[in-house]
Amino acid sequence: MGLHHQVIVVGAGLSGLRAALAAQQDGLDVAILSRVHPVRSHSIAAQGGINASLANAEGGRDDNWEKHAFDTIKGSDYLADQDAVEIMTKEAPGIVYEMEHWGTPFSRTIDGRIAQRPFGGAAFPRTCYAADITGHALLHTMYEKSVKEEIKVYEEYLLLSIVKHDNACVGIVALNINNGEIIAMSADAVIIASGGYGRIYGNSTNALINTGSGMAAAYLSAGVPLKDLEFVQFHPTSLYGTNILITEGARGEGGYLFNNRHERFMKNYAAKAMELAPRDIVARSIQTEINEGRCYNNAYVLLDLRHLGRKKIMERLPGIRDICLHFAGLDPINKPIPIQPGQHYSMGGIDTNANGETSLAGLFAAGEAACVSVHGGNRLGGNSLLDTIVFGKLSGHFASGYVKAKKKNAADQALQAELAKVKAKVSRLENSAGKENPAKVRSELKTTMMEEAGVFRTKAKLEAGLAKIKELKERYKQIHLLSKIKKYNLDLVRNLELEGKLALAEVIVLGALKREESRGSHFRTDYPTRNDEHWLKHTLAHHTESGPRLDYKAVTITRFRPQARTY
Amino acid sequence: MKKAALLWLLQRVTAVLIFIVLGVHVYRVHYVELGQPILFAGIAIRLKSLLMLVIDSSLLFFGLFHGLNGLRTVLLDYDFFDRQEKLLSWVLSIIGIIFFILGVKGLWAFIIR
Amino acid sequence: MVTFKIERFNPDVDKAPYFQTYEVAAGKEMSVLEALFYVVENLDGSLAFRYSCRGAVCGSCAMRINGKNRLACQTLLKKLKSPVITVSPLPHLPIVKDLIVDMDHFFKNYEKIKPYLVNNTSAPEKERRQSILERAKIDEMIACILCGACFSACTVAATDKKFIGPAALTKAYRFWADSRDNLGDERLALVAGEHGALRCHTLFNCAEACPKNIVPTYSIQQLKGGLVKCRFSKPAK
Repeated sequence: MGLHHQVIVVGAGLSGLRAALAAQQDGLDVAILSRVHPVRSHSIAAQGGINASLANAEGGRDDNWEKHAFDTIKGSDYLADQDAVEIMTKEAPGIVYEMEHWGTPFSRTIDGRIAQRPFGGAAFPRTCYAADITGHALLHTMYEKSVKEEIKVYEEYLLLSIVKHDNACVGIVALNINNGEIIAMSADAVIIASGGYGRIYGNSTNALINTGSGMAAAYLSAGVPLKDLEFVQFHPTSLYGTNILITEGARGEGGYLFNNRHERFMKNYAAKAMELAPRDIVARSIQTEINEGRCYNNAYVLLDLRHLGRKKIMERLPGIRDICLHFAGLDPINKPIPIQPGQHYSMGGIDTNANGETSLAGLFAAGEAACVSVHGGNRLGGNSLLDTIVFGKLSGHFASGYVKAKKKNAADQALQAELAKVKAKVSRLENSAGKENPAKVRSELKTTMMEEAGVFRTKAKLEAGLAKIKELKERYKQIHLLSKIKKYNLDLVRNLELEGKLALAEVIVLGALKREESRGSHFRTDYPTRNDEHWLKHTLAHHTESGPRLDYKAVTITRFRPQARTY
Repeated sequence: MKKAALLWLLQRVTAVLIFIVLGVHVYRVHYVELGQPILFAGIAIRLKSLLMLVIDSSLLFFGLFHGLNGLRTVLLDYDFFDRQEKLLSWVLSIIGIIFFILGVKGLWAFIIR
Repeated sequence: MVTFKIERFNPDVDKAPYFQTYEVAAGKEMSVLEALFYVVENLDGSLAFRYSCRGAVCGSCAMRINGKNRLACQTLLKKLKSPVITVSPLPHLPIVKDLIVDMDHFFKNYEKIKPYLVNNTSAPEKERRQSILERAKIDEMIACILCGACFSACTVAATDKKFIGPAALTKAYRFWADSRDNLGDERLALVAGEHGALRCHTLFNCAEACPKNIVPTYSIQQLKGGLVKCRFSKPAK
């Protein structure tokens, strides 16, 4: 019998840590397995803030959870499940206060309350922030809490497979990156909180570790369906060149977008909300300006903060200034920032309900890896940090409830069998005699996704994309590793991740091809309107040997009937 | 904890005091008799003044303390000395006391025979 | 083409670290991290280094570049203005492999200072109030990304293995100075003693190394002041 924990959480970002804290609080033996040290997780990169209807801001005294829920649902283009949104928005203030009590250094109002700033798609200043490093502030606090509670973390392990036995999840198989050993760990419940897949795309704001390995493992090895994966958020403002995120808070604090004619072009797209329309709309507007040539270098428009003045920039957006100084060599106090849309977030993910449960007993998911769905077709800025903590916590508690109620089943054999299978697969990869350069496969995948499944999609593009991905999947079988070293073999790690990336890419493109409407972030120029009659439903993708099989599931609607979405 | 904080503080305090008494010392030795030859008699006069004896003795005391305590801080960076912290502190204290006695004997030679 | 001299070491096979030279086809805006990826993808798949955010917030890729501790992602080749770029792991930490160092000791020190807010009063229903000025006191310290550049640059930490080091001390100050924390003198006790804050020789190596422009020395001096006040305001326990 090898390693065993009652609950294994995969991923040590905000949702993973929160889930582990919840399960440990319930008295269970919990361990986290993470690709990187917890504070290196991608939650750290969140900048703008976390939404909660605290009603602290001057202009937001009438705010409440229902208004937050409405904004979220309207922002989602009515694809969000409204019961889940209600849970999230009701939990929000409590979650923010809890993080504050645990030590998060939120920025403050004059009277010492948590400061809130306006964000896209919200009727009130609802986004609680710590300057422009809110994710950093929250993740450090969550990590500090996990140090206090002595949460066990297996650092630098890559999840390779989820093990099933008797229709229940019984453990995982993972690669210890440090020594190249592949191990099986048994668990009564597994929570996938491994984040998104941003690095499938070329221009992504995501960390380089965001390869969707958890989603892919759930889909490929656990056989759990992926939901709404065609909904890919493009952040309107990523820094031209590196695509590092420039927070929506920059516009929340009053930044303007200009095209090369020095027009605030958002007036042509969202006359009322202007720069603070939801992300899908602003991203499309910018992309339109770029496509129609009202841009610079055929690639970017300008985000101008100069009128905010030195004091406000230094106080509210110091991190943005640092990023501009280091990565673009300009100071936003004197110069506008060159920006373009970049892949940012996955609304879709492992299909779960509001308890974090997947269709496989004992397998849970939370955060960006999961799709509850609270973000539907388009996530509002400030809702992802909220999602990670709320559903991290809930999935942790529900997982411990499940563990306490379940009968023990001996799964050692299943684990050993899966371990042998994975080991054989890895050794096949290591010893492949193929000639294909994996770096080329990876970079062609990125270009394909940007070009064929980007901000604007058409049938022709998506079909071309799908064909290309199928080709890349074939070529992947022939890749040749440059190194067979055991210890810290980056070549191996990145190419194991590549398999999952290809699988996810196929699901994204196929879902997008089949969804013949435009909703939220999914925009089909050949079907430019929303079609509630046929498409007010979630896409579910099941893994089969011949590729994804799609079916659909109804959207839960409680109190907000779908209406036209204007800003 | 208490010892470390006290020594750290005394290091700062002696630095300030050295600055003051050294100022007086330099002024008296180098500026009051500026341009005049250095004669035994001149030194004898200075070392018979009680004020100057107190100033110079304090300079000696503060200088020794500051120097040796500084040396202790530097040596404690190294594991070898750190393991012998008590012994090191005693040895440095004794060196300090010996040098102070020798110095005082020299300074007060014109008064105490 | 830019020449990279990269320190290599695999403790499983090598007796001692050695330098290997690579020619990297460098773009104008290329960062050192991107150059390392170029090496792994095109020249030598066995090179190991840590990476994550590539935007200078996660703290994974601190290493020594042309003689200075920096983040590889934040260091653009054009800013180094040097035809040969030398890359080695953070000094004074055990090498795990190539550019990867063992951060255990660093995080053990971090854990020593109780790196979490402690407030023994019962939590209010809403937030604990904190004025803008109180919050401003810790503004610089919360930007720390725990990359270890300061710890590795600190010559005191290099010789005195018990020294808590600049990052943990900055964190200690961050909580001690936080108006919401009420651990007070007990926090000071955690950084007291010969190997705590008072060990700092104010060399400012940490401040020079910090990729986030934090000056740990400031926090450390504040702690020293606190320790002295605490020495005279309270009887010894």
